[in-house]
Amino acid sequence: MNQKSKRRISLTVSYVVLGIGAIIMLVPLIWAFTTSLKATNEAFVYPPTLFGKEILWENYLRISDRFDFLNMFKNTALVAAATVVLQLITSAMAGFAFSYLKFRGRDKIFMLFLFSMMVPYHVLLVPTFMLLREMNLINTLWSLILPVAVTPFGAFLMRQSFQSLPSEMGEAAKIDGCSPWGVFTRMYVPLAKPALTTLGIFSLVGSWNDFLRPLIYLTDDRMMTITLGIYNMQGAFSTNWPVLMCTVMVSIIPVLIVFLCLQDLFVEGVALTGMK
Amino acid sequence: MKRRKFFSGDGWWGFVFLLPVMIGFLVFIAYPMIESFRLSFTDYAMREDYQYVGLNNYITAFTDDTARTVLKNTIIFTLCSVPVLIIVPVFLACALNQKLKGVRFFRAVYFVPTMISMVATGIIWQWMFNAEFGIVNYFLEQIGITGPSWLTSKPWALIAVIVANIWKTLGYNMMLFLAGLQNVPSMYYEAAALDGVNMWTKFTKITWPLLKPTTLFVTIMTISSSFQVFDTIVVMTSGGPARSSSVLVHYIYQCAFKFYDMGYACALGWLLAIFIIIITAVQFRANSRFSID
Amino acid sequence: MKKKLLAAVLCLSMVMTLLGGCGSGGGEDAAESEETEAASDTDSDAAETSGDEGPVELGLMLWEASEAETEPIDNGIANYEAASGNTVVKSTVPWSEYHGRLRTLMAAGEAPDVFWLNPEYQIDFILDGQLCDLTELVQTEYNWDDFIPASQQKMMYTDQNGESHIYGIDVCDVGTMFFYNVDMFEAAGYSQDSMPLTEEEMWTWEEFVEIMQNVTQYDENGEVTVYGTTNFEEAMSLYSTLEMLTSAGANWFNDDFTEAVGMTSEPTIEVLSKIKSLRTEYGVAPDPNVIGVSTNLSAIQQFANEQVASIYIGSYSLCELATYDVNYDVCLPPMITDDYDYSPICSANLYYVWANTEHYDEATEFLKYLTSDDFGVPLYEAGLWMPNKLSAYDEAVYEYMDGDIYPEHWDDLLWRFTEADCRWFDHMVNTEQVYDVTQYYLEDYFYNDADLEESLSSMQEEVNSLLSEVYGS
Repeated sequence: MNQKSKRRISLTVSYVVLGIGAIIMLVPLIWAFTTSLKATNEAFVYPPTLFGKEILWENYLRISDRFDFLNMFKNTALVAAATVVLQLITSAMAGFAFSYLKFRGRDKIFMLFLFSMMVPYHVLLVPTFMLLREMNLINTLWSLILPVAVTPFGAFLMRQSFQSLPSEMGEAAKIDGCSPWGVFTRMYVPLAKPALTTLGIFSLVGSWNDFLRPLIYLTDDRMMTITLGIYNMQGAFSTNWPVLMCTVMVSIIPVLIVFLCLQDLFVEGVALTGMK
Repeated sequence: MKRRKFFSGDGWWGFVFLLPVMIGFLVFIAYPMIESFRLSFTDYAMREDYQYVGLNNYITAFTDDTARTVLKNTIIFTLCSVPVLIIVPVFLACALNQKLKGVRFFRAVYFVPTMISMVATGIIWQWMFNAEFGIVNYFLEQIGITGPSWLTSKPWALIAVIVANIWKTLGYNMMLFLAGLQNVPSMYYEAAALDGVNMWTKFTKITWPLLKPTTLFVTIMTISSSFQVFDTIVVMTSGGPARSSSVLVHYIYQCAFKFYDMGYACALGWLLAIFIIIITAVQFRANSRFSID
Repeated sequence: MKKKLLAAVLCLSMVMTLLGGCGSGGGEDAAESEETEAASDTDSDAAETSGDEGPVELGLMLWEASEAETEPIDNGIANYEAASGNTVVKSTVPWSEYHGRLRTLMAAGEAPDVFWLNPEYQIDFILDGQLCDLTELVQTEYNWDDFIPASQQKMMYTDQNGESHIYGIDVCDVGTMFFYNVDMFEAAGYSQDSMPLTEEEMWTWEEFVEIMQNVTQYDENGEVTVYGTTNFEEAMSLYSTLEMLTSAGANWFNDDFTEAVGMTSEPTIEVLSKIKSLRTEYGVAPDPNVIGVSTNLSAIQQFANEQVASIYIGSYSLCELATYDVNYDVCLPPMITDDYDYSPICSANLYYVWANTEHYDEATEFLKYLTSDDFGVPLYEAGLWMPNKLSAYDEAVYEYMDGDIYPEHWDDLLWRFTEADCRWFDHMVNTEQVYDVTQYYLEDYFYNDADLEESLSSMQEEVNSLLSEVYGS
């Protein structure tokens, strides 16, 4: 078998495998989407149909019937934006400190950071809650932002990324009299765009989809975030499934858009996660 | 917290760069950790008065039947998910690593489930696993199998949750492997091609060994995160029926927020943390024993 | 350049969060630094100490059982706000998280002024000192004798010294009804007029099984297309189950509910195995897709889509059923055992005032409003709740019964509300954990085929250890 046909076979097999996998990935979402367009009673038929008798785009308008969805959207967006910015800044600074700078105890502190990633955050929720209460931040959006403004994972990611940059570059700058801050802002950060993008996207996704923290720290309807709203829509005794699916669809879209725009940078950044 | 300010060398700058991070870390990570550790020795129940009970909570954890059940479920969950989440993504990544058309499309498609919230995942899959109207049972019918009542029977409830979790995490792991593959210098492959090596050998002798660091990372991340699955379970099955799909973190949450047994919940949480650390350490050890180069 | 961009984004996000992020919580952190800064000392509610100091902000916390509840409740609140000049901040919490949230808020000193609770949880909060004693309020401002017995029973809490207090006030009641699909039953030969409406007419178990078998529809392959009934098997909340157990003479607790005594009794075993047999032996009930609280496909929706011909479920279903096309009516449920003494059950949530509220006067005013007819009537009309006052059942209730919602024979069964008792669990302590135990064992029996007697005996043991945590053993 010559090279070319070997390659063709391998390509075909790959396409098939990838295709099947892609379908499996997409089917639930497609199914959710088609359900979102059905009337309530048509959602419960067997055998299941792809579309109901009519396509009810109006279901999307009903999202806000019970909860102010626009408000939830705004809350979620604000929290996500602030979280992303803060996480990027703190992680970049920490990553820089852990890689470029040298000082006593540097690696020990880093180990401490890594260690903290192992503790399940559920256990930290109540002490954090008490803390936030002392600060009078319960039921504000800050309660969702500040506790996660520092993320060991982010520090880890940025450290990996900075370590992959040639150290001669920084040395040269130092010799030229450039302060670490200068090195940081003018050299390292610009070069770390992929890693920053990756971290940014993880940050965005994590914040956007956070469930437990809003559940516990937010106490009134005006502060609700989207994930909480979706969960709330499952009534204790009955659920309007199509409209629920609408909410789910809508919650996915913003993150999807961001990802699609930044896909390439993101992938580059992923390459830098923990290869040590 | 030991941080020596060293004003010579880079110490001062280290301080500056780390200051905001350390403040955040100390206040929102270290303090709650220490506090939860302290609470694990008490019988704190969200009331004013509570007492220290020494190691009671930890001892109870070992005799508590429910804790044992949920630990068992957690381990089953991990044992079932992790291999699938390592092997399948590796092959997918290999497939995707060739010069295919539509790479960006496939990458996006596989990654989309990762970006959906666990709550949304739970809702969608709960809908799909519905015994009467869900499409999972419908597809099974088509191939002649009568699907079980997924969410109301043992062991199918746990399996349903495992499936949902795999669906969600597959793409993420694939991305990581893809990145790892791209770090494999192509000259190895070219040399292999010249030598007329077949695909399987290429994989086992070149790709797999060079993927070791990535594999280690992915395994650690996957195990760690599968020990912490929560949202999906709450939404899909609430841990039922009869706790057959409840995992450790779910039980911790219940102890804390339903039974107000905060002390016990904290103790369980720390036991879980230790467990994860041990497993991670073991993996590092195993990896360095078998590593090449 | 990068730095400027960074700074700009930072400022922008700070501004945005400031503009949008204000909650009813306290101080906003407006500082440049992203880390913590203890906010100012304003307390969480915008208002000052209670009294005539201008408009006050009251917190209200509740859960929503269904979509249909939202509008009447919001309207009711709006009416109150207009009439009193105060504002109400409503917090809707999913049922499954409700008590955890409430307890957390109380521990943090931030609980809402007025909130719902189901009576089965009230004792835990009473013992914790978190509820205002409303006995005097009820004695002076309400007509106690007008409350139906079930309401009186759940409102009146008698402590260990024999003293009685009232902590919560209710505005409605809910009881289980047997809804059936008129068309399907008629097609199977059971006319609407022949359905049981008095105790003498109630079906025996054997009759019931036969009816169910006749009503269940099959397709050409012998697969069931329409089930006879559903919701007899409940693992949560135990409304219809408790009614069946009580009527069969099972008694799970002693008189003052400090000990579980009769869980392993014969009537219990008989009732539970018969319930299960509807599905496993006769195939007339579907696999219930109700697990825990979040409903996969609720029994109501199955009935509304004509996939089951009857359903034994709370009267609140009326509200939702009315929105579908199905032709439904009600009758009495079947007798499960030979010695069946039908004892209807009623329960519903109560309204409470937080013991540490800063606005006791306003809160109790609001409470009075929430338990008044003004507030309750739209909800009675919607078929969601039934009135809790005897006088309402004399005449006024007929005004509420909109023919489009209330079916033909509803008024023949009004006595099951006025003669009902409250549920055993309404007197429970350590309730979350007790429910966890009962749910576990019942689910284990229903779905995992655990041995019934063993399960019941373990259940009783565990419930007793939970009860003795509070009462001592």
